[in-house]
Amino acid sequence: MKTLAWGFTDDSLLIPIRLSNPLLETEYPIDGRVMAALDTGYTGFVLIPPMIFRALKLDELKPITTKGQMADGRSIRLLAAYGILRIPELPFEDEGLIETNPEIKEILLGMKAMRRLKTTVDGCRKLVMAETC
Amino acid sequence: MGVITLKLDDALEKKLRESASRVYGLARGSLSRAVEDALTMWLQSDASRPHRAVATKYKAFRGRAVVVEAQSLTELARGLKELGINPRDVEVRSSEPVPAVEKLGLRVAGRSA
Repeated sequence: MKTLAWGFTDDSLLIPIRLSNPLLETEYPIDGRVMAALDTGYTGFVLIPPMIFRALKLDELKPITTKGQMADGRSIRLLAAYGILRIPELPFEDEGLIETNPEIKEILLGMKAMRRLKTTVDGCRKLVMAETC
Repeated sequence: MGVITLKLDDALEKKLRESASRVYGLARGSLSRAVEDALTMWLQSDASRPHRAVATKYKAFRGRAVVVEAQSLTELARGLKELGINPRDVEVRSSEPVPAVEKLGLRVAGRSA
């Protein structure tokens, strides 16, 4: 089993990913990887800014709406569609609801994205390590 | 009362004996009580359950009719393509229910409710 490690960046746990919408055959980014932050406070799968949601053409599919509850108790409306998350270096692939809202400014991987990953945070060496279950 | 003979790593055994005597005293049976406690907690936790990947099933609906059913999104996309159905015209549903509320965590700070 392959384990990969990445250094902390800006004190966030960032890992390189790719996203895709197999229904409309779109990928983000088009080449390479994009960094996503692991967020154990987010209970969903993947949360992305609207610009990336549009780039994946997820906004062209029939929308699924749900509610996001922020830490201060306020709620926001989330627009969602099914897509694929990949960590090509592992390799790892999982499917789930990719959500967005105009308030979202970065790509977050939530607890549902981590359910098939063994993720270790090594604060001493400033590393985040991941392997598949 | 059952009797189980098992092998433990030396360092773990040392820690177990030290902790058991600290928590339950040096009386006879303290080690068994500590092991019973540890096993009870392990059996109650997720770690003792087999981790079987539950296959998610997708269905594509057009109106009320299911037009394609698949085990993965890629398979669903292939099925729609084969039938010449535009994915924009279907509603994709998963066997995994859509949560009514997602907790967004501390990284999401909104301007408005």
